[in-house]
Amino acid sequence: MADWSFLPKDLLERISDRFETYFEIVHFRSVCGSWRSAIPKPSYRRGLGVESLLPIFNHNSRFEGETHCELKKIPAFLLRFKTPFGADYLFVGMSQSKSCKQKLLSPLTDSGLASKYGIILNTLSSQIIPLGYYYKINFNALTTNRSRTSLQSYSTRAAFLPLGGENGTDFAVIAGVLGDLMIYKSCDKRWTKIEGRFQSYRDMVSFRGKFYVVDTSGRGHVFVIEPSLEISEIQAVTQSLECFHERLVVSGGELLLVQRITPGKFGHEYMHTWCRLFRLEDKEGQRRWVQISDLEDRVLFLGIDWNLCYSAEELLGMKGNCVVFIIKRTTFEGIFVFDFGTRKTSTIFTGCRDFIGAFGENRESFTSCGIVTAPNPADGFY
Amino acid sequence: MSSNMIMLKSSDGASFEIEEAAARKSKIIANMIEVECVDEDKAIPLQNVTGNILALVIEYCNKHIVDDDDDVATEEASEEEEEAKKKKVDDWEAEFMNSMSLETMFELLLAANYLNIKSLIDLVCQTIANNIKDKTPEEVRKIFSIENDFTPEEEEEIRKENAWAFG
Repeated sequence: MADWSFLPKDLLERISDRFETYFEIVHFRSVCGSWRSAIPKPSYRRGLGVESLLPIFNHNSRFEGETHCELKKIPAFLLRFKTPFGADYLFVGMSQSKSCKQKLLSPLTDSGLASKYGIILNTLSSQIIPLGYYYKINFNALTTNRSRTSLQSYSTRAAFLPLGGENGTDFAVIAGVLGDLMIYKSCDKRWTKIEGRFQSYRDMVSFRGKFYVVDTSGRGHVFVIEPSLEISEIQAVTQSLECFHERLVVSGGELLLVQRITPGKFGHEYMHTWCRLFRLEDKEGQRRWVQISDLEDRVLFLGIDWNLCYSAEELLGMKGNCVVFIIKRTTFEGIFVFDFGTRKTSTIFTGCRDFIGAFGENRESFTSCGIVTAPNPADGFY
Repeated sequence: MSSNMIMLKSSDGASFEIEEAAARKSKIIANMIEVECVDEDKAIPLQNVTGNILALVIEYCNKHIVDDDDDVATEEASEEEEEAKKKKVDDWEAEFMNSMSLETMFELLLAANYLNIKSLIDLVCQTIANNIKDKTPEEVRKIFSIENDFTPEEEEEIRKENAWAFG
């Protein structure tokens, strides 16, 4: 009978070397005494949110006095756990704040999960599944509003592309900055405006060493931007202007384009929404969109600044072959589900068996099992 | 490289014939061949490895010796060919690891460690890490039949270590 608790220390070290995040290592050393003594508590918080400073974009007068912008790298995790009401799950993101503290957020709604006293996340009896990172650029710019000019802070989504390089740390970032699409390359240490035949952009991702940007034409018009700044375009999927919102989502080895069509004078008849789905086909550099009618088991989440495609089977209460989209307007907030099978849209409350934890709003479920608790000043924090 | 054959003998007395080039994947055996001048008629005894595990080790070494030879010959091979080849090896490794029980994986890891076959150690450790990484500590204990041997004080320490304060 194999006794895993007696694996030699060097082999246990080799196993724990494979983990990407701090959480996995802490879990590993929570299994038994011999594993705990073989693996020291990691001193560096791998897998948490990181903020780095990049130079400001250009000499535009709106950036006068500003020297830097912030690149935020936000890891997203899926936590799965048991509650007195059954299994539940929660998506969390972790973002570093100005004071170097970590903030817990709901990555789909892009809102904080903590109260003003903070929050404790108890992960001992929870599965922690890393879902990768998403990126944002924060900056200040002089903004004139009703003839008053003041410094305003902006937060914009960004796409990140690792470029390897000598130390393996070179990267490129693209972001939409006050209407311009800008690229930053770590080897050049400066921003460049991307000039192209597109005027604005709706969504951007990095996929297989290139950036993909969909513009706001509503026609599924996607541009491919190489790190060398060479730009090509993929033929738009439609000629008409019927689409309201478009997103690019990477799922496994695939790049998907999702079009959400919501009718109504102001595009507000959400219950009549329908979606169209395309997969990128790349034949020896010849790229085109192929329409698909089925996501199979997968569910697509279209968040405010983060998209995710995930197996519905792994998310209790979630239906496969669906698009979940979040509306956050000043006058209205809501979460809807479009089902590719029935081709109908419902609200998240009626569309799914349980109110899902994806949005971090099911506080009762979380607190009842202790996955999140209020901080206790008597506890020492790590 | 010559295709000299050498004999290996497991702890339970089973003998295996293996190409010397394949056997050299094991640093221990390579060392024996170099330093101790292995007698061609005599099998190398491996005290810590049983026959069924040694058979798996040999299967792995045979598979990878071919790949190593290929590496030398394919310097001009296109990127795509390289990729296809790598995928083939990855698929084989996935299938190889998939087909064995945790018990066997444990024995194989110890054998690879004893024989000092780095790439095999890496492969098994990666597979074990994949088995562990999404699980709670309690689930890991169940999967690997590990007893929770912590004292209440240690339990409390672990609980605190797994509590993350966010601002």
